[in-house]
Amino acid sequence: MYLSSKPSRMRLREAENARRNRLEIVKAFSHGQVTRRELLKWGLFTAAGALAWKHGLNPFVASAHASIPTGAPSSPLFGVQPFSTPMPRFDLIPRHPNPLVFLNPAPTRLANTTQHLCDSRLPGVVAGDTGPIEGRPPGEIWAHQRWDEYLPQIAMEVTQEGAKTNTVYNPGVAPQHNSGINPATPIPVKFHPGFPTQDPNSVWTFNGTIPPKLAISRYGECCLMRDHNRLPYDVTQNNGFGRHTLTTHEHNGHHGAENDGFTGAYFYPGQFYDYHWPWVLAGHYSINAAATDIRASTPNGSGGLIKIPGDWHETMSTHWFHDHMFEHTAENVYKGNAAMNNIYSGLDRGNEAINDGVNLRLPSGTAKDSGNLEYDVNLMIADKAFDQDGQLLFDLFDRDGFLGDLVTVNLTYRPYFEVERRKYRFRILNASVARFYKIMLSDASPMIQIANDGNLLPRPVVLSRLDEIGVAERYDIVIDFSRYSIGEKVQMVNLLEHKDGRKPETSLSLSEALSGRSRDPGVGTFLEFRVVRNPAQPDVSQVPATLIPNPDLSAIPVSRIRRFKMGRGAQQPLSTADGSASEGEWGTSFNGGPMLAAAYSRVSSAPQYGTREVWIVENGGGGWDHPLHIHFEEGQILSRDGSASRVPAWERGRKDVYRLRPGGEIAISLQFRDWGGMFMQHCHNTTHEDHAMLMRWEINDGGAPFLRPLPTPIPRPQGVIFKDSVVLKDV
Amino acid sequence: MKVYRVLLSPALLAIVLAGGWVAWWTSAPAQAAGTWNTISVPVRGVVAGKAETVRFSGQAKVESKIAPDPDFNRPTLVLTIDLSGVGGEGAQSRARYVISGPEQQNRSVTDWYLLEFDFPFARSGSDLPTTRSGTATFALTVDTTTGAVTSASASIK
Repeated sequence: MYLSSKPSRMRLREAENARRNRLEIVKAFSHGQVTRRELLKWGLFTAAGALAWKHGLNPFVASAHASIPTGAPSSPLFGVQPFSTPMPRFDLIPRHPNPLVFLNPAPTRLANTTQHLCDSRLPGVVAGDTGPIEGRPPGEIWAHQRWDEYLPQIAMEVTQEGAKTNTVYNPGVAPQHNSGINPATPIPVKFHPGFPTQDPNSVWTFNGTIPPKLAISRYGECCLMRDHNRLPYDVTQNNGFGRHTLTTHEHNGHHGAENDGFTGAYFYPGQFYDYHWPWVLAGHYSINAAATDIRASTPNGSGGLIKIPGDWHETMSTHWFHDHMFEHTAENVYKGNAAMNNIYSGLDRGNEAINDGVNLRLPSGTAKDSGNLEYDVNLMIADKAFDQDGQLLFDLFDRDGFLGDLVTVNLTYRPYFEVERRKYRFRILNASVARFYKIMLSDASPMIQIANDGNLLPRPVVLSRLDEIGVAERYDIVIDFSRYSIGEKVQMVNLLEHKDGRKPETSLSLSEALSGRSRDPGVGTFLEFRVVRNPAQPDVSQVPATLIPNPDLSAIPVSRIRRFKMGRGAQQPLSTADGSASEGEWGTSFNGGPMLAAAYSRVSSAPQYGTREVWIVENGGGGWDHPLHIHFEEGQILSRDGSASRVPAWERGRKDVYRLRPGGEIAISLQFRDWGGMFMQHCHNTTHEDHAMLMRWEINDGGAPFLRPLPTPIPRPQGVIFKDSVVLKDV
Repeated sequence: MKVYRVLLSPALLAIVLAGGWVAWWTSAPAQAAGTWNTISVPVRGVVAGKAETVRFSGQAKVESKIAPDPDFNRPTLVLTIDLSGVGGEGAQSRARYVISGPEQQNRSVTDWYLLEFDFPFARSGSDLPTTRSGTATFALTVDTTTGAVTSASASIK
């Protein structure tokens, strides 16, 4: 919704008052002091879930004019000019060998139920209560699957905590590959050096610091990621948004469900959760099980390869991980709970020089055996908004999808990045709540898209402008800066204009986007590349004509076709009292059944272990778009609106987020193998997700540990309890 | 809970009624999904630039449909414009140039659009880094009921 870009002082004051009023309600709502039902009863929410059209509450009511699109006055810029600060590279998460020794207490197959004293500020806790130190649900069902087969070799230990200064920044590259940033200089949590420092409860990130974190993973190298929750015990200490309970989803790991960040397997401040990421290729028990195919391989540390089981066509590259807390994912991810994960393999090694017939030699570097980052750059794009004090702002009342008015890259407002005259790989992640982007270079030069989501495409695609990148999608692209002269600058431009968070409204031309006339402040330039020098060494990287062909599905029968519809007007027949069911208006219907709001205690589908299915998913409206995320294994889009030819070249690889497009329908091929447990699918417009556009499915094998239905965990500080799950007919 | 201005107004009843109306409206059966319409549009134009000028001609395939919006009655026109049927010829070399990638756009429904977008093209058989960009402009008249393009003109520069 667009309002005047030049509001009067009086109208700005009204809008600020409206924002504060909403903030008070948001606080009460986020603290659990009022329920959605009570807000509805008071007339502050409409039955459709929108903020009531009230003067002094809704900023879009006549006479209470705010700037778009946040529903609040424009974020203050404090005199900051665009492209006045360097873009920091990601901050590497330290890797430690031998997790069983390094981590204290040592990780265990079953959840560690050693008791500790619960802090009495936690909800439902009285002085003297004890609870388990690990938040993972106890017992065999949540035990790490195939633990003895995949004992962890690498430990990563992180915290989730309030904003604090980073004194241990490690970008993994020398300063000349990080726009001159000296990593020894402490980095306070600011979205630009000219912005105020964020309050510890305004921003919650991994390790409490910025830049965002990057995990380095390798196939065949099993990782144990210990995640400590060090957020405030008091649920009200959140500066108005954010929930202090966490569950971390590795997006989109082919791991057991106990490591998937299931929305109902959350843990409390004071607890940790051990996530076991074995890094195996999908199909590792059924395809190339004897590990004879050299293309299914991983770097050995000295220029060679180690063969691993599984289907090399399922090799993945660019992941991220983020919070998945039921009904609070948007708040927590927006608040900073997002990191990326580069996965290296024989094919995508992160070394552009090794010429072994397997390595694709994509732009990266040469100094290390694998995982070189000099020319392989992670970009996390996210729109943010700030209050008049410069603190991060979020509006829970925006049920269409929250939009920020400032676009950040790696949590920095409109930065620049220095490059050499050669090829670079950029791993672009859209980590926004609801905003989509359409990216182009300001001089219309072509870009080469090499991957979509976590997966290298079968063939590279040359584009002048990338397709829309929906929330949680990742596009890996290559830009060749050798076409520029030293001293030249070129910007990344967002062409996509939003009026609200329902969907992008219009794709602008380059000249329109650069004109500054769009009323959406998210349109226009957001990252500047500065060509500063020639490379010290010749660029030996390649973009091969063939990358990773799709897995061959022709010999795998389709055991079942399911139909889902994502839409509005959902009903919730289950009780919401224990927090496992949502009253949100969004929902999913299964095979023509009722549109149901999310309940993580309800099993909506149960594919048989070891089978392949086709899921047809329809967007119930033309006024919305939904980036559907299906957890667990990558899928292939077979058709759009019933036609395979409507699947563009850049979507013809494997994916884990599927934009439905307005009124659109897609058919996806999925396999269910190797691991078991409960997983999810949901809209990754996280506002829609939090307001109930999420459903649980689980893999049915008829025997432990893949029982069906699995009991539903209900986490409490004193220990997880379980309740019976509800199973839809004909799952 | 602090309140910075009076929140509740006497219009509560009206809001409840409005909410009820919205609930009724959104529970109505969904409108049928739109069907795709296809039209071929002749395209001509010249892209000047380094290496050589390239003259383009051929037929663009424009597919369109209306995606109804049962929630807010703000339907979307969904468009795909495929230029792969448009070929180029180098003014000096006489070499063949090809265009890759369809353009996908979503727009609010009106009866006339002027769309401009950039597209990549390359000498046939050449490697990826030699790709250049051109700009296509389409003027489309659209039947707002079906989403079908009823008349169109297009150019390249």
